[in-house]
Amino acid sequence: VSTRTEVAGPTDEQLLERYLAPTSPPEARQAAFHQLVDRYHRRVFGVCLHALGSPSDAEDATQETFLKLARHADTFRGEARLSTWLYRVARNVCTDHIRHDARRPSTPVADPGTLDQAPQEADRTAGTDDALAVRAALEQLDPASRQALVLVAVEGLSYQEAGAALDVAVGTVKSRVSRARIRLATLLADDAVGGHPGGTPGADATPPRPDTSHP
Amino acid sequence: VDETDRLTSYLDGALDPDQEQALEAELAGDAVLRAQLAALQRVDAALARLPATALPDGARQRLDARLAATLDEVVATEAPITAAAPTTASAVGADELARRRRWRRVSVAMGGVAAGLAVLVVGLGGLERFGPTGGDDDSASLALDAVDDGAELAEMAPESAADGADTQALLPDLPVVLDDDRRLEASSLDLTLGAAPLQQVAAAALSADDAQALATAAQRRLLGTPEAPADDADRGPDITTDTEESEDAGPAADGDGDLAALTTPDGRRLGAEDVRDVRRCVAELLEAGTAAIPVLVELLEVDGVPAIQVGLVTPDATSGAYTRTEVWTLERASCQVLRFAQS
Repeated sequence: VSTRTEVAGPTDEQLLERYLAPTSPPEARQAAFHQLVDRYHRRVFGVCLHALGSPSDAEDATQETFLKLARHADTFRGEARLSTWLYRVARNVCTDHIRHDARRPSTPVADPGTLDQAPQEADRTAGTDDALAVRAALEQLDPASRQALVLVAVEGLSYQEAGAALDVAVGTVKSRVSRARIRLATLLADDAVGGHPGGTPGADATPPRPDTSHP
Repeated sequence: VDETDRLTSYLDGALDPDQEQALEAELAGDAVLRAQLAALQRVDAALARLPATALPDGARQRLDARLAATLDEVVATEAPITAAAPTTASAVGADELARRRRWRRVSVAMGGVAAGLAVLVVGLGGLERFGPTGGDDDSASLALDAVDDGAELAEMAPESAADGADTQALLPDLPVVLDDDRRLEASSLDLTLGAAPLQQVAAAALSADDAQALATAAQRRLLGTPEAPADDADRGPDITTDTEESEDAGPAADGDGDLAALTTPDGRRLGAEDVRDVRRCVAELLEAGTAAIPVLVELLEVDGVPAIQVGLVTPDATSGAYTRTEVWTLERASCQVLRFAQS
């Protein structure tokens, strides 16, 4: 009889434990793994897309990441959060992809610095003025800051997770994100002043944006 | 920490209380600082409105497909499922069941225990012929003793101690559906595994052949016809118009099938919403697998969260006999598995 009773929802680490529990029924173990996939599929894909630029490459790398989790979950030692570990795996997979691609002359090597915006993202927000302004401002950031900012502020990773995904220290992520936000604030303020002569940076509140997903 | 880092830290809630108070005091008297803060807040708001990367269509299905073999392999190495293959073509092996039950966000468990399970004892009298312990009430009283509200239901048992009804006659009694507003602590869920009906069915040690009819009928009663899973509000006779598969359990499911199964032992019918929720979660759990016999379904609250418990009897991995009990506790709203227990 199982003695586990997390009604509030298991932690990632508990799900991993369930997946690995040798005495649990196979279906319960698989269910635990699928719950982890539910939680991280989208964001792992986001990390891979930012690293690789191509959705199909990113999907492939995402699959490999979860395959590694499935196969090597027992090597997780709990020194970090599982999510952090997972993003580190994703980063390594993506790095391998880039190396692999670099060995094939016919394939242009992805420059991660220029690939922060997936085409599909741009399409989805096209036509939205402030989204365009933000994107334009993002383009002016240095790639390292932009990546850190996007992973944290848009994709929803924690500083620790972004550190693992980018292979930099947590403190570095924090300072990059902080600087990127400040720089972005300046860029958007300049933009507001330039584009709208009457605008004052501190004064015009962000207007509610119409939902552009419905025509 | 320079001024602007301080502002971003403030927005992140990362300042300690003293620093936070000091900054707020400064903000109160410094319009430039306020403007900087407002600009940062606009940036954060604008970033938050950018859509996060979306998964491409079908990405999850493709991922699941690529993972399937590996997951099967991993979970099989530690907990081997021996090939105690069911002997009939219609029966589904345990590993196949596991595959079918590869719910996405489901899990299962059910505990219900109690209460109304004694009724099952009655109905199960006929199972005696399949196993050594069929009509025995020891396990029933055991489970009921553990549950305070079991007394009245226990009393129902003796009178129903049916005669030699055959399997067909038992079909209308499964699953037992409980809706007694029970509120449990998660810590008391273990009781459900010992619920009398589960014990009784497991003790009968049904063969795959015998279990098949029971499972098929019980599942159909629980789920309705696949085509019209949601039309429970007005129950129609259509519910029992079966698809072509082997429906040798037919007679029992005819007429008052469906909602009769979703009637509590004291005769109350579940509301349409309850029925829908039960079906949604149970369907996800079973994924049309026919190898599990749903024995108990209970609507309850677990630690204040509305939940559905499902008690199943499934084949033992080695013998193939239906002796394994499982209790899945699912959050009612999401069908997420809150807890799983097995004998």
